[in-house]
Amino acid sequence: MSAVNFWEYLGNRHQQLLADAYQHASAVFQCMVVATVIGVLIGVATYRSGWAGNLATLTTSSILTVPSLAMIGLLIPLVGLGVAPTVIALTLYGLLPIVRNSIVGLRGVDATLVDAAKGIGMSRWARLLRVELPLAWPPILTGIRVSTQMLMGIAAIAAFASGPGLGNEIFRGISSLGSANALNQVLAGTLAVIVLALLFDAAYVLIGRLTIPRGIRA
Amino acid sequence: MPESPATPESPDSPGPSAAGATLAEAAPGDDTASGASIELEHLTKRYPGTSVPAVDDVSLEIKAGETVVFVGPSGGGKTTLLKMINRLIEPTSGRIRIGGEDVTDMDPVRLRRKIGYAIQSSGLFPHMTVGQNIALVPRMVGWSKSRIKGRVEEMLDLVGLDPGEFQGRYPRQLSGGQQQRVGVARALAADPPVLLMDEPFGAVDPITRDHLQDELIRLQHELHKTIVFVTHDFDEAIKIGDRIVVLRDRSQIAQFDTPEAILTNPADDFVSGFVGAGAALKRLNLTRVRDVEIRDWPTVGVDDPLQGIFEALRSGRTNELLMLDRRGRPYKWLRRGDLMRAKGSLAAAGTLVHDTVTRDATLRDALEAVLTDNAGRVAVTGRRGEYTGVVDMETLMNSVHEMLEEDRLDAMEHQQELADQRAEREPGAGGGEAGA
Repeated sequence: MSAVNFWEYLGNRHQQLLADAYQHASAVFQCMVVATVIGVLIGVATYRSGWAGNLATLTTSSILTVPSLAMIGLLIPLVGLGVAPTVIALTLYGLLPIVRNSIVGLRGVDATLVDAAKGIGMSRWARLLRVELPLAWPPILTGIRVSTQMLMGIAAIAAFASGPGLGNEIFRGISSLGSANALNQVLAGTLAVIVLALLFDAAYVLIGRLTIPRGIRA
Repeated sequence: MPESPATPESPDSPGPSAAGATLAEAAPGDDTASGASIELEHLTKRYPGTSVPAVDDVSLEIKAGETVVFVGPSGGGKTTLLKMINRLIEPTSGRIRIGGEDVTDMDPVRLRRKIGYAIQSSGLFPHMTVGQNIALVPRMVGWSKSRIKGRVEEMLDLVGLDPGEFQGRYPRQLSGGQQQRVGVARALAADPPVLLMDEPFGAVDPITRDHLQDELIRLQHELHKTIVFVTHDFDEAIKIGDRIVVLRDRSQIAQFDTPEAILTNPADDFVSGFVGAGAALKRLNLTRVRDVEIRDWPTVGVDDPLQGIFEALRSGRTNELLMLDRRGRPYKWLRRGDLMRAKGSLAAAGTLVHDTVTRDATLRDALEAVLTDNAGRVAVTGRRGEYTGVVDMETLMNSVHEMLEEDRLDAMEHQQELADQRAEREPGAGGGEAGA
């Protein structure tokens, strides 16, 4: 395979690649939103109790030890092929960093500040929404970032369950190894995943600048 | 005669229950709410799994508009007792009354919005600006936007920070002392009748702490809140408190009295150990220069004719004159002979006045100035720095002697009263105690 061939390949197939990349990004993004909501909620529900927080971290980290191929394989008999197993698997994998960082972040809020918030008459919810979550936001955002990077790679496996995304490109290449464009397909899919990951990361930097108050920005 | 700090300067305080605003009155619309009384009745806090209660049957009555300081060794339960007033720590048994109203079972969130709370290292929220921090409680109790805006500026002014400069800053952009001021401003923002302060100046350097204490005293003169202040620093307690509660283990009250009474007549060995050495010196902190006799001193102006100055020097009862500048401020000490040595030149003669005290300075400050002055006297100035008199060593010594003597008599009287009361209550044992 020569470089010229690869560029030619990209030129010929860019429409398919863009469509796959869009689906890939869209799947990851949507699963991240769901994982963030669930993850932060789990964090909020468990951080005040030692054992509950540890249980949440332990559970989500044991999910992560299941190989992604096996996870999707196990989900197929339950929910069928296509989008459903992809979304479920990605959301489950995305939980750990968010849950862990939410718990660590919320527990890390200076106890005197929580005391002050209570002392000036903030209700439980006001304390959580106006003091604890904003102060825990930087580590939570880091968790979201780590999750996203991870899901970018894992989402490629979704093609195994005929899910959407760049995994299709890679799998097609692997299944036709030896044919003219096999390597180009694998390479294009992989590079596209990396580019997407970098774009998402840049977006997170921007989100951080916009949402972390100046007073606690490092 | 030093004015007694034990009686707060609120003319409208005939009794604790009638005085000041009750909690309900401290609603938006009031101009400023002055203090409300606080009564603690048999408060006990027992943590599950411990045999000894953390706070054991404490009863205490704090008058409206009074500053009461809880002082005691670390871990003695001062903070626990303070936090029971706004129910950050719920009492196991006992009642809490504020402004006569029983708040023991009130919704704690509503209760706390009417009690200012300032803590060590300010407790400011780092992700909010100074203005947002101060606006928190007014926003929670539903003030209008324009009223909050005005209030934030007013509070910053009150604690001596320029609103334009500081409102938009974040806490980490402020010095420790400035943060503490904002902390106090936030605590006072919704104009609560009661202010709880938990070692608020514990984390700042001594010079700043001194400033902040002075500011608090000034604020209290204006606002007449009921302040409960926790510290482990007895000197701070003397300086700030109208009355002091010395606490020992389990928040047991060792003595609850005016600073003067505690200094001159500690109830027992625990209290005297806590008062420490140098009670007479500490007593100097309790009296201001305006309370002692300020002497007149012969003065001349810088523009007076030379001949007149010579005359004054020759005929005066002292061999020294105080020369005032054109605005009446102390400028130079002129001794007999100074003019001769300077060959008649006024500009070169005499020694410049480098230290003066105001009428609000404590006697301790005055003593410091007198001790460092080579002739043992210091000029007293008024509000704009103008000369009002002179204090010297003799005056200071006389007033201290008088003061200590008075305190001693007061204390004896006080003890006699207590003994009488006891005798009345227990007629059987009374005779023996009264004789002792």
